[in-house]
Amino acid sequence: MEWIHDHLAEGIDCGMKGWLVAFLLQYDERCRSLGIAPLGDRILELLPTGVNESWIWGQLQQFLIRLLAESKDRFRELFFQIAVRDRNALGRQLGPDGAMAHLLIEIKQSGGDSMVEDALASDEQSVRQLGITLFGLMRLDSLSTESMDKWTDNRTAMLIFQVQRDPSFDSNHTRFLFAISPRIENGHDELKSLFSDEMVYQMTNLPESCKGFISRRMEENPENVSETVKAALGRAERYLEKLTPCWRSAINSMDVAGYRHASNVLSARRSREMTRHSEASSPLMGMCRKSYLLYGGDGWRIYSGYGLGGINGTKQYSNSMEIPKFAFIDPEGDDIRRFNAIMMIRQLEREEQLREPAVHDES
Amino acid sequence: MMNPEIITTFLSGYLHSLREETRDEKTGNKYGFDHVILKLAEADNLIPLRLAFHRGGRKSAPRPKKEAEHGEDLKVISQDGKKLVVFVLKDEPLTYRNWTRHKFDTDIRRAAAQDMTLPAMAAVVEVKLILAYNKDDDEEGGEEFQRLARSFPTRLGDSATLVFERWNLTELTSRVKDKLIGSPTLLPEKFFRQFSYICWQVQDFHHGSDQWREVLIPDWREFLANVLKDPVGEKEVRMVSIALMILEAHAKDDPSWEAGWIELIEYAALALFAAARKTSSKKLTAVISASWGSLYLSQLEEYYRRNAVLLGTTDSLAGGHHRNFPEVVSSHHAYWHMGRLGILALGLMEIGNGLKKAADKEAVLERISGVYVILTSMIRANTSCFRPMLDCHHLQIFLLWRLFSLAGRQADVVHVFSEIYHRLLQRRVNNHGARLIDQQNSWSDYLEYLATGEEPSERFGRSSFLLQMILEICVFDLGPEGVELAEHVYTNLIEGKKPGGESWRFPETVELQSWVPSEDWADAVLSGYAGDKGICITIQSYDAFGQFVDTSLSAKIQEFVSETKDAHPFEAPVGVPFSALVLACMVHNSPLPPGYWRMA
Repeated sequence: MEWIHDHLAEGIDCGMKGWLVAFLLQYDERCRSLGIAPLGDRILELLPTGVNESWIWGQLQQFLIRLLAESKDRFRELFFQIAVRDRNALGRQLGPDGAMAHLLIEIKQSGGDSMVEDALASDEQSVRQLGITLFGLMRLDSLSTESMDKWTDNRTAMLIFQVQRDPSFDSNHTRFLFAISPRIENGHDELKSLFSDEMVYQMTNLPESCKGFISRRMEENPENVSETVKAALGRAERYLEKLTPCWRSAINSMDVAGYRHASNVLSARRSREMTRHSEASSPLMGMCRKSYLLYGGDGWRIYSGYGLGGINGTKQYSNSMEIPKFAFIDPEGDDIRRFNAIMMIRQLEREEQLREPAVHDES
Repeated sequence: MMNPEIITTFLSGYLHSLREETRDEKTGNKYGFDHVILKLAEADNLIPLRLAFHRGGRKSAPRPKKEAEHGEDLKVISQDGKKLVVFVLKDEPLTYRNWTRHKFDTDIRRAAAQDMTLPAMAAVVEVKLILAYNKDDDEEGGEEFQRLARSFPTRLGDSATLVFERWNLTELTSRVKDKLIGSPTLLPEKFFRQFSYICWQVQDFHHGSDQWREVLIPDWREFLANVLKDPVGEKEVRMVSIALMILEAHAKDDPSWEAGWIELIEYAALALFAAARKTSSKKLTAVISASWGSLYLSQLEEYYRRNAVLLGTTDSLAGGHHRNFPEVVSSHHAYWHMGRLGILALGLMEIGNGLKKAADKEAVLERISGVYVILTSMIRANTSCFRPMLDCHHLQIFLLWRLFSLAGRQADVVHVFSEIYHRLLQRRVNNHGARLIDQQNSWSDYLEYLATGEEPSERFGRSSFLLQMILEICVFDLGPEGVELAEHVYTNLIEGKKPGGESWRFPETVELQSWVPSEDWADAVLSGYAGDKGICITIQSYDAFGQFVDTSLSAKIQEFVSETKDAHPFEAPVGVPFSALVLACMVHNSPLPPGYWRMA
């Protein structure tokens, strides 16, 4: 154990990281009893690790679940520190396809709301981002008024800029914004305007999921929808309404040279990539023999040398998802928006840091 | 689309320019309105009994018959043989003096003397004698005709009535407008086959499609070249307008047609200006210049008036039917419109400059300010205006600068340039698919590059004329803010240095380039790409030692421009409006001579 402690600082490769976590899971208790510093205290040194190292994250999950059961405070402290170290990877691993999906359930069962509220109130940008991610993944709908009342306008604005910084492909961000909308109503006009613009952006970026979400809230109980959200919904609807006549209009119906050919090439490329991904994600698929049917759309049967097999019907599979509009129609604009959000978060953090001692002095 | 007044004006101008007879002469083809009269008769289901010419067929012009006309130029009869129409054609005004001088009197008398005993006349119950002339008339000329008509008996032979009619230019125009405006037969017979095929294509092809670009446009250009073969006269020039009107009547029922129609007029306008460069006739040049304003600019203005609201709608240009590459497609559309709006404003300014009356000037100014409003609202609503993708987009950026600068809106130019700079930097930094500006000016190459991820050639995106233009404009016209922006563009985007001096580590270097056009640039660009002539100047670096010692970027740019101007003085060509030359550059993806932004 002492040898491991000595060599952790020298850096270890990815393969070893997983074994180390597994090792500490088994022997940390013994370390304590022997007076050796437990490895768990140095777990952060293993990070960041690759997003695809699901085994390591799986081992880490077990460690964290145990820690959560032992002490919520210690878990929160470590969990937030992991977020600071490797926010993006942690967010992904907590997702439905990630290696830490089970940890998310455990957090939710042990009072996840307060964890989210604590994260959102953090001074650390990465922890606040974790809070927003957890809010989405845990499918929360609201935040306590008490916790939101503690936020200054700047801190609330920081959360909105964090939403801007990290794009979402579903309604999670809209749900989060909707949850903080009661706080916005008490805010300054500038905050309201920032919030409203962001709401409109989300609803026009993903009309189906984001605007759909707000519309459903309006249908369910309009009284629970703040005036700022209602106004934003109106703006988003007007934006989309005005765009309708532009669709296939005289200003944008002309073809672009080479478009059809490039589209065909792109489709073929996407299809190849999809096949490669499916084969990579399912070893079974790679083992299957592939046949490319030439004719006969109604069914197919196999002759294998042992006789003719039964008739199988052909089935069509299709999947669809809503694509965030602005990342496609204005990719650079979307990047600039994110860049500006980062700058604004930094500026607001500085302002908050400058403000805080004054508040303490007053108190 | 063309309003009825414009159609009437162009049609009467065309008919007025025609001769009496169509025929092939040593000096070239002469087009007459006899052919139009025949087509009008055929449109009424009348069958020719006598033509004044032998039809020429597919390629050659009709040849006049060497036989006695007896005053009648064309004789047609109804299907049932009951109605006979005899035409007496004149390409002279019907005046008292011309009545005898140009044999109006004699020819009508002779034409009215029909031999009703001929077998073909057996069933005829009505004989109509029509005097058709494609010029004006005066009262006395009209009276002469009436007097003569009244002097004839009302019956011819035993059973037929005799009626007289007179078709002047107005009547002729009205009849042609009603019956022939949508038909390729309105053009001389030798163009019929080629032009009919173009009409069919217009009906079928989507604007901008492969067929449009590879079949219709080359055919249209070939047709224009055939019509405007040397020597070009007024008739040929007017025939182009008529061809456009006929094409419009065959328009595809598709929203893409509106812009397609504009594009067809553009090729016609450029072909006309190319023809104007070869003629010394002031009258012809005036007709061509007039058609630039009355046909192209007016159609463009109407198009933008119709679509102003859509253009000012947020993200409207990204809402087309293209599912893939929306960032490229919206840029294509945005620059298409920016260019046309720029040319429209510039063209109207040129028209305004030529006017003398204050009220007329005021009216044009109002139209120009309308264009400014559309252009500004389009730019505000569509971020794709800040996304140049091809090097030839320097033309649209130039126009934008020129217009805003003329209006004293330098701050707006700085804003637009700054937006362009930030987006270009993001593109290069973030390794998006569309990282570079294509100096080959090929949408096909660009899209294939995005689809495959492979650059079409090793020089792809490695040189930029566009950025050099922006630097020069920033330094020369945009004050301290422009100078500061130029420094950002040069340091960050070209040299690839971060504000702290660290490198962005772009995978490729982009070299600035300038260009000196050849002496025959104006002639060349009116008929095609002119960028392959002249001298290219590569700017390897403004700071030869990696930093500016005892000087600044703006001083170096000024030095470069000054040296280039001394070595290669530029004189703007005369005789063709500048707006038309910019259009030619745009249509042919040809660079604009730097002299235009250096002389401002």
